Amino acid sequence: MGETAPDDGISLRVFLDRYSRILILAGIVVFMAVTRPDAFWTMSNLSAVAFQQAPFMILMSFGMTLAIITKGIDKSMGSVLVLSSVLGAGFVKNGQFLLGISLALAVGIACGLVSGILITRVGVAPFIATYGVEWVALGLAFVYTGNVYIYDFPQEFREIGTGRIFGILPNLALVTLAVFLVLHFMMRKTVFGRKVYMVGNNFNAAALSGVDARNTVTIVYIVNGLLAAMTGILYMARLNAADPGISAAFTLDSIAASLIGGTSFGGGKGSVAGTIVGALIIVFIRNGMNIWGVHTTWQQTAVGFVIIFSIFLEATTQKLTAFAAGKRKTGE
Amino acid sequence: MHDASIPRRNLLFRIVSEIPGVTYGVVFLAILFSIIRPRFMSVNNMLLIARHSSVLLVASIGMTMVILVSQIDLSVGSVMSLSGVVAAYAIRNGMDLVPAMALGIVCGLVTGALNGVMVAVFKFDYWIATFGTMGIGAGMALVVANGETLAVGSAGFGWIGNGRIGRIYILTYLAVIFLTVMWFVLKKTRFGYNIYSIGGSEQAARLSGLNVVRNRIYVYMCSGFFSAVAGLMLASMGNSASPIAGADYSFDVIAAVIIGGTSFDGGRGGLFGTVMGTLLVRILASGLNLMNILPTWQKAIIGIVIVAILVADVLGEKRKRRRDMMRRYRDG
Amino acid sequence: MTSDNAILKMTGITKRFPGTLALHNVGFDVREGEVVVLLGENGAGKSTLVKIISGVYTRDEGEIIFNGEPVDFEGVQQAQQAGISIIHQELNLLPERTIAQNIFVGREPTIPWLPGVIDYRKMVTDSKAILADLGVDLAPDALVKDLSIAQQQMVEVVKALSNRTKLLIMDEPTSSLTKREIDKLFEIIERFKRNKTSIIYISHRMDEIKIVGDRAVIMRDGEYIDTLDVKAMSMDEAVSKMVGRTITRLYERHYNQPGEEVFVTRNLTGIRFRNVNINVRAGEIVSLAGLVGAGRTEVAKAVFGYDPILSGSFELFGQTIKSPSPDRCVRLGMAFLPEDRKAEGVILKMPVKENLVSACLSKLFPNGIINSAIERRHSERFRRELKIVTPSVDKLVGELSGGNQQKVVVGKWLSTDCRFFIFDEPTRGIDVGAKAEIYHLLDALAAKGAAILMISSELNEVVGLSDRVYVMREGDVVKEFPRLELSQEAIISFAIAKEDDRNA
Repeated sequence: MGETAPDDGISLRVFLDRYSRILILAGIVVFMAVTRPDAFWTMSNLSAVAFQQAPFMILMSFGMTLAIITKGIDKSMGSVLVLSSVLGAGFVKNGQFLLGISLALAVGIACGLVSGILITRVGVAPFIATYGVEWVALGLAFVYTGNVYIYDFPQEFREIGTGRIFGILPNLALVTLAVFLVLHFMMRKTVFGRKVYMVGNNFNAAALSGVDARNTVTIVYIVNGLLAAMTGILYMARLNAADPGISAAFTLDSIAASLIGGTSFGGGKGSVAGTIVGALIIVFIRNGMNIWGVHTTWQQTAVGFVIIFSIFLEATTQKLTAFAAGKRKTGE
Repeated sequence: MHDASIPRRNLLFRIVSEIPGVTYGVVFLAILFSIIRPRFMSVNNMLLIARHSSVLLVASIGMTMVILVSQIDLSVGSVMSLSGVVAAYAIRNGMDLVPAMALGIVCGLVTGALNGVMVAVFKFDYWIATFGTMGIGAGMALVVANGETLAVGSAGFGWIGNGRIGRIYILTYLAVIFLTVMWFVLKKTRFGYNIYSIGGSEQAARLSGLNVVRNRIYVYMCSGFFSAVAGLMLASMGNSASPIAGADYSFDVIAAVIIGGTSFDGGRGGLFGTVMGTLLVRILASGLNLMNILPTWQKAIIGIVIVAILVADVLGEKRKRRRDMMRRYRDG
Repeated sequence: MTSDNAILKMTGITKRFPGTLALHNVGFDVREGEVVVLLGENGAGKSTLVKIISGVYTRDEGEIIFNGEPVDFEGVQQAQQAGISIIHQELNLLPERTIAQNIFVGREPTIPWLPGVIDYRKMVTDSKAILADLGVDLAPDALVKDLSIAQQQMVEVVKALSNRTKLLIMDEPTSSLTKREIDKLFEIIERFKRNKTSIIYISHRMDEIKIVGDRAVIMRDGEYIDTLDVKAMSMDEAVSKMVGRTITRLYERHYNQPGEEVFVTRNLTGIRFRNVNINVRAGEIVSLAGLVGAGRTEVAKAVFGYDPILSGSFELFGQTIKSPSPDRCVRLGMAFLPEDRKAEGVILKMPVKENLVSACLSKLFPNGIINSAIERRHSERFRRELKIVTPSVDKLVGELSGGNQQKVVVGKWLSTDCRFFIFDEPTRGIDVGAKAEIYHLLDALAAKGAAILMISSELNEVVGLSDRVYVMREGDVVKEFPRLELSQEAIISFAIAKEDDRNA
């Protein structure tokens, strides 16, 4: 998808499409590094951002990106994360790691399957379908826990979230990198990825080309459920607690990250690589606001503005494209 | 051209056929709960249900209009929080009750206008655009309240939320008045006609010379207005405003409207259905409460019921459309 | 050209859309009380022109004088107020609302002393009067969704007539009317002529044009060509002006002995069609003819698993299928080229190469991993074979012309192993040169032993290309013609319902 039209050099559109996000990210980093080197440009802050805050954001945003590429959205990811982790937590606490983790992943897959069926077989709008799954999953999580934390897991389990490979590279970063590589390859180089883009661009045309469009979309939501469950396990290991109250925070942030990362709400456009940039932008904005002592209450507002800003960016890019295309054709 | 196959719809048949299916559900649940818990049918409980429904009812008015033009407003819950918090803040800082409440309503109108302009003028995706304002609104509410619940302590404000005239709560009167006025507007005025026309077929409306853009902006402003009013009503009940008070409402509102038979396809449904949809949700909550079911379970049960109804609705709609189409071709 | 009693005078109308010049320097007059027929091929600019006259689009250059005054409509409402109404090609009704509400959309009468409040009773009485006046027997408070398509079309006509119309534009108003309703419409047109109302009439049916038309304005490629007197003009003259040259050998067919039956339906019934029994043999081109809405496209979509099959089944390469799905059909060797190319045939925002491989992904990349070199080689091959005009296969399909987009659709299916093709309106909206190429391709496919089912509204291509023709009317297959009995007149007479059939 990315490598379009190499024949007429790098136009303004392609330039904006590819690099505007990186420029924004660089701008934020440079701004912080110059104005507050004391707090921002330190090893502890940067590593906290890169290895503790960013990985969860990035993992969840990957799923959101896939959903938005299919012209959908997955609002349930946050509560699927919660439900799968609290259900797995009991076994993990008893030392049955494998069982707990498998259960969590199975719950994630099941939730994704339900969303996918509601959307593709029943025909419920993606937002409503995943909204419903979000409600039910969260409700079940509260019922199961009775609204209390499950905490204090065995050290071996916590290692998953806090440990480092060879004592250097944190597990979290490694997992994120691995997931990125897998998804990137899947979207760019496999027939399945191609189908996802086709379905997102034009569901009918894809279906009429013999693509199993409904299954493709369902699988995307299953992948999302799996990603959410995986993030849940890591989160639980990292925090040493399964907390049913954290679900909402992720949804807004991951939508913002996907959109600012260049995924188009119109479907069929976007990449997981862009999403990493988008997620980092969000994380750095939050980090920057913390450093500047901006009250945490402002942060949600800021994320909302980022969403609106990214739609404007998208619309402007599109206008430029249409303008350039018109000029090129009539000029011939 | 006279054709016996056109159903001669007499008045009785028309009235019966226009009753949304959910009405029967409401009746069924009411009978069921009064058999299980006779206390359900007591006057006091009825008055309480009416009071608890009123906030949801008012908030659903705007959403009904937005869904009638086949769009959605996700910012409803945030606007509710924001207007309550803004009014509370103003009162605490010495403003009079009426101007303070007006200020809260202005917040709603501004958010609505912003949504309308983004969606109607710039043609942004309405899910994402209103999701962005949702984030901004929720964030602003937190900022204004500094993350805390603001006690208002105004006797007048408290009277709105808890006072009664006769045995009936003020809130109930307010809801009934707003509903009646807007029912009239939708059914009998040019603005209402325009809403149904745009929802029925935007192209037909445009080709008939309707100003689609302006009407859409008005619809979003209505949604903002009623969300703000509902937010004030909600805050008045406890004589205090929480910056997250409205957060749970967006889903309830969408669910109430859709359960009430207003369809995402637009142009079909209305406020009567929305009232029934709201009552269904509230009766369910009240009945479960009387049956001493734990709040956490209540939430999960209501969520599952709502999702089940939505699924049944979509499926039934599909079947009906197919039947209609077949009938038309058999007769045509 | 100019005349004194002209109600509408147009000079130098020019309209550009991004990438195309839709109208170039068009000008002609419409006199009071006359019917001007607009003739031209698909894409000649007729619809764009009437949309400019009726205020849907704004012109880039030129002048319009209506009723003696230069006008510059901003929006439909202004044109309506000036007395210009238009009946669009497609239905623009609100199914959930009553006939009266539909007639008055956007100009509902209000109660004088209550601004903004609608006087529904007045709407009903007014509608009743209009309906009775035009002799249409429909109740004003019936819901539009309960009407048949033909009745809905009449509502559309009534809607346009109800205000004081001085100029009425009809864009293919009869495409789904029955014979009796068409007669009714012509009566109405006569009455309007007597009342000094002018009419611009767009239609492809030559027989109708002869009945209603006074003068014919011919357009081609967005330009004004000529004005002819309808009573005096000959069909050949009109057609050659529309096409711009006399076309020889547009249709070239190498008929050969058909092979075995590839596709057979058995009492196939779905939404909008019932008990369809047709068959296609290898090496044959079989057409489904009929009016728009007769159920032809629906048969194709049901067979391809896109719409549900309610009862019956079909046989494809010997396999009986009751509930097909697109991916299964493709695996079995069936290809579907949909009518709405931009919405369903290609993915506009993806490059040519990705579209060309989109129907054979699993064949080209059996291990599920995309090999860019194979993709490029494959798509370059079909670009050469089909002479797709594009600077590179990396170009987005949306940037190609209509004809080249259609070639991409064809190429997408040629690259599969399909041996049964359904072409739905294969030449809609493409120019004559590209048409000839597509016809040539169809012939070549059949010669190679492929079975082809073609759905087309252009009767000359149905007659020119088909081995056999099935005619559909209102969901039924009413007639099968072998090649030797084919004529446009015969097909039309079966496609349009006869009066007696209405009550059967």
